[in-house]
Amino acid sequence: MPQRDGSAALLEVDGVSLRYGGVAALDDVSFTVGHGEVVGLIGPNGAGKTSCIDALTGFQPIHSGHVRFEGRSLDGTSPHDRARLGFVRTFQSLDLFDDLTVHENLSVAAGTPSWRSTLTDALWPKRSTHDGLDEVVSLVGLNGLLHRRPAEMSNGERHRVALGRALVSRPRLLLLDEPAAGLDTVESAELGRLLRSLPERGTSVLLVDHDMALVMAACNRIHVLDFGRVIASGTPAEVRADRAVVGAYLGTSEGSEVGG
Amino acid sequence: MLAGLGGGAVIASLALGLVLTWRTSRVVNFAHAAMGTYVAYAYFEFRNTGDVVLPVLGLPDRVHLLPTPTLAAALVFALILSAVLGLAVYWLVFRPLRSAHALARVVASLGLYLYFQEITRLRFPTAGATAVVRFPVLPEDTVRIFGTGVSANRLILAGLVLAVTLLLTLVFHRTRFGLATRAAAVNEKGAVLSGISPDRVGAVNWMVASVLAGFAVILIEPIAGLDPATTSLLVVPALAAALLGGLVSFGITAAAGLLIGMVQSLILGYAVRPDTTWIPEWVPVTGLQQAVPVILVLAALAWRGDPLPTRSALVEKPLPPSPTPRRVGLWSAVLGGATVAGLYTFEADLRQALIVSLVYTLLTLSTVVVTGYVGQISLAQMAFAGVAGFVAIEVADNGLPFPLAVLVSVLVATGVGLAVGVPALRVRGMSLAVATMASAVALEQLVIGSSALSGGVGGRSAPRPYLFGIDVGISAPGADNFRPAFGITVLLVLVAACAVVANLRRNPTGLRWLAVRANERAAAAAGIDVARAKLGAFGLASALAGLYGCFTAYATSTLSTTSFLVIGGLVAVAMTYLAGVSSISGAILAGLLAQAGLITTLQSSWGGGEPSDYVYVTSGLALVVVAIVAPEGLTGLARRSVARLFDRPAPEAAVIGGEVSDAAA
Ligand SMILES: Nc1ncnc2c1ncn2[C@@H]1O[C@H](COP(=O)(O)OP(=O)(O)O)[C@@H](O)[C@H]1O
Ligand SMILES: [Mg+2]
Repeated sequence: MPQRDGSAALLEVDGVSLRYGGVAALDDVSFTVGHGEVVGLIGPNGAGKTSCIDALTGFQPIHSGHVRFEGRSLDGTSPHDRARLGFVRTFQSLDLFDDLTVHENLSVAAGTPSWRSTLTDALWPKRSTHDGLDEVVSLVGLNGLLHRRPAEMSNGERHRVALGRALVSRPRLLLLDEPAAGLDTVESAELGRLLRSLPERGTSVLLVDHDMALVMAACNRIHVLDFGRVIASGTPAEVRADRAVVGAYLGTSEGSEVGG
Repeated sequence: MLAGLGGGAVIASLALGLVLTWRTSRVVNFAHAAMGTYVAYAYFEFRNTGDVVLPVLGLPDRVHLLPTPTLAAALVFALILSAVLGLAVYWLVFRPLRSAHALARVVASLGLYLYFQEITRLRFPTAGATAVVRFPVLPEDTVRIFGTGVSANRLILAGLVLAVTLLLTLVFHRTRFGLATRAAAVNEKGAVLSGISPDRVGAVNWMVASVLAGFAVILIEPIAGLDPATTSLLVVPALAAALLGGLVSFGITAAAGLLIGMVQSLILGYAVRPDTTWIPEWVPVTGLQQAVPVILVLAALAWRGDPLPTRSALVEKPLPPSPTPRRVGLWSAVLGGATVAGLYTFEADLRQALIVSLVYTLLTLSTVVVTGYVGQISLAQMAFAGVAGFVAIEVADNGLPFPLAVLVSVLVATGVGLAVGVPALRVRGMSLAVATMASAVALEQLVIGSSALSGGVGGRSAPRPYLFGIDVGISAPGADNFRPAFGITVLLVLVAACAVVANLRRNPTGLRWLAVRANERAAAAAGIDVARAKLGAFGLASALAGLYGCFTAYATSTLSTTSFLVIGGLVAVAMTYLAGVSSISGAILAGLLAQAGLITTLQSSWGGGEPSDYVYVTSGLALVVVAIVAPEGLTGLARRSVARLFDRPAPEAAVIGGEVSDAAA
């Protein structure tokens, strides 16, 4: 029942809980991401950030609560259908297709198959696929690397492939799980600039990261998770001043880049 | 019901061994019952003659040890032999394969299955239930329980199994050794920390499992008799029991094994009663009995989802890289031209071999699609072929002309393939191999084995095929056999099939297949419908297998169920892996390597080859060796060597993975 409502936020997370066995990883989490926003989701290791991305994108079934995307309920929508709706994620462990070249890694995420296209695939020797790849390639800086395989690339380059693969389908919302893990300061700053430019391309962002400099600089708003609960929300300045946040997170592990 | 206790105890004992080796090495050992069968034959031979029969190719067949062995001596012999077998299999095969892809371990265990089944057949030429002079280990007198008579041996068997179960459970949960095993399965380091070497843990567990299998089969002989092929297939009900126990719980596994045995004997008892009339005559009763564990396997897999997650601590190696097909037109012209030339110039025996290879390539191509490209291990392709072969004859007998009969039966095979593929979507890796093998056994027992379809012992013959009025039959009355017209028909179909597969592989569909193969969750995140990608491949592969079945039907004067045995299906998968599972060239090489195909025929006509008796044994051995030393298969090896010859400066993966310039287009 897609109910389109002009005033609705792009993503509405409403009372989502997630359990592994009996252990609650997310407890009644609610927040929104508006059109054109870059929103940060931070918290100490094990706070439930990755679990939150898994829950929103359908990779983990949620225990209770609702997720709405562009005013449309995502209950019962499979992960690949969410991706096709323009709700795309990356993985903390990148999960590139190691058998495929960079070009193939990107192009595999570009097209939407149909019975007709499968039939042409079977009967036609080689179709060319250029669905907006060039633009993304230069956006994330993969020129000249298209025929390499992930195994032959540096960590920073692999991160750019993951980002590029997520961007080729021109998503409405991009969920990034620690995209700066293992990047040096220069690469991280570059990533920040790139993320801030995404809303102009029509892509809003939900950013999970440990690199506080990146999160504070790139985000309009920040939600803070601890033990599966949202303990604070606000602008970077507000969050930085929040005592609960300082206690739970900033005071203890600022600058830590150890993935959780 | 209690009569099934004996069979159940044997199934339970085999299943306990499967759980043990799974918990140790994350291997579903398809060769488990085949190893036990070998031990049992060797035991009876030793008891009768005092000869030790060696299962190693190249060593002398037998060594005389004792003039008149006693029961105790024979039992000690069986204990030592089975322990040594278990140790050898662990040390030489599965220890080196610890971190290999699941398919490599499946292939290795299939290779062992072939090897042990065939070496049993070769070493005990009179093999068969009646040939074994029995010296029962357990008393045969009848005991009365609840008013029914039960042989004492069945009760003792059940008691023994329960004792073993209790012992295993205690050892696993109460001792440092058990802790080390559990730790080793998750994480090698954990086992090291517990102070016991993981290698020693693995060796002991494999020996125990092998002993359990050996004694189980020795003890089932008075109940069910022995036969190298059927006894080796006891692994299927044992797998059902082990899967019901989640491949973890010894207690549930043993209980499930006992229950399966009792249900099987109930079905048999019920189905053969004269007043049981509702079961139609064409349903094979033994098939029904065999189908129960199979249906249980499938239900257990579907219910548990995936009980066999991929190992976390040791990173699994990926499947061999899949090169992008290039110059398909050129290759088709060259190979097709050579084939036509061969068909018109060869003598009859080589023409036959060429046709066998052409037809077989359709089957190996189906494995390349579903396993090589999409990473789904299907052991049921031969069963789909069997269904198609007999359906083709059935509809052709009812008047449907040749190309339409082929079309209909291919559609039926595709439907059956999809029906097996849908529940298989919930499982992957090893458990998919188990599920598809179970489906293959079910199809063989219930559908292909049904006399209504396959014509019973007499078999069936396809009517002569005509294409646009031209006789394309394989033989003609009065004329020479193995006619080129039939070969060319198969060749055209094969070239078209290869072209379709090559096109799909080069286009976005094939990229999605490779993405699913590489990483399912990343594929889903990239918007790929993983279930649909797998089903599409399953459908195409079943259609190809169906083509193989049809042309086998038209190429065979009397088609019987022996053309489509489960074991033959295992050989086909194994040969494809051997040749190179992720490329079309691998499928073609596997076709050439087929039994009675071009290469084996040339080999034996030049006199240097092995007698054909040894084909299965040597291919079993070859499989194990290739799985360990050259997981990319022979074509992959060749491709890499050629690349090295021209000294391309790219790293290994890129060179095997196809041309660097490919994606530039
Ligand atoms: N698959 C899983 N099964 C059980 N527990 C899990 C699983 N994944 C994560 N957890 C637990 O859930 C909590 C949140 O983990 P995660 O979402 O990865 O945190 P973060 O990404 O914030 O570091 C942790 O305590 C973690 O141990
Ligand atoms: Mg995380």
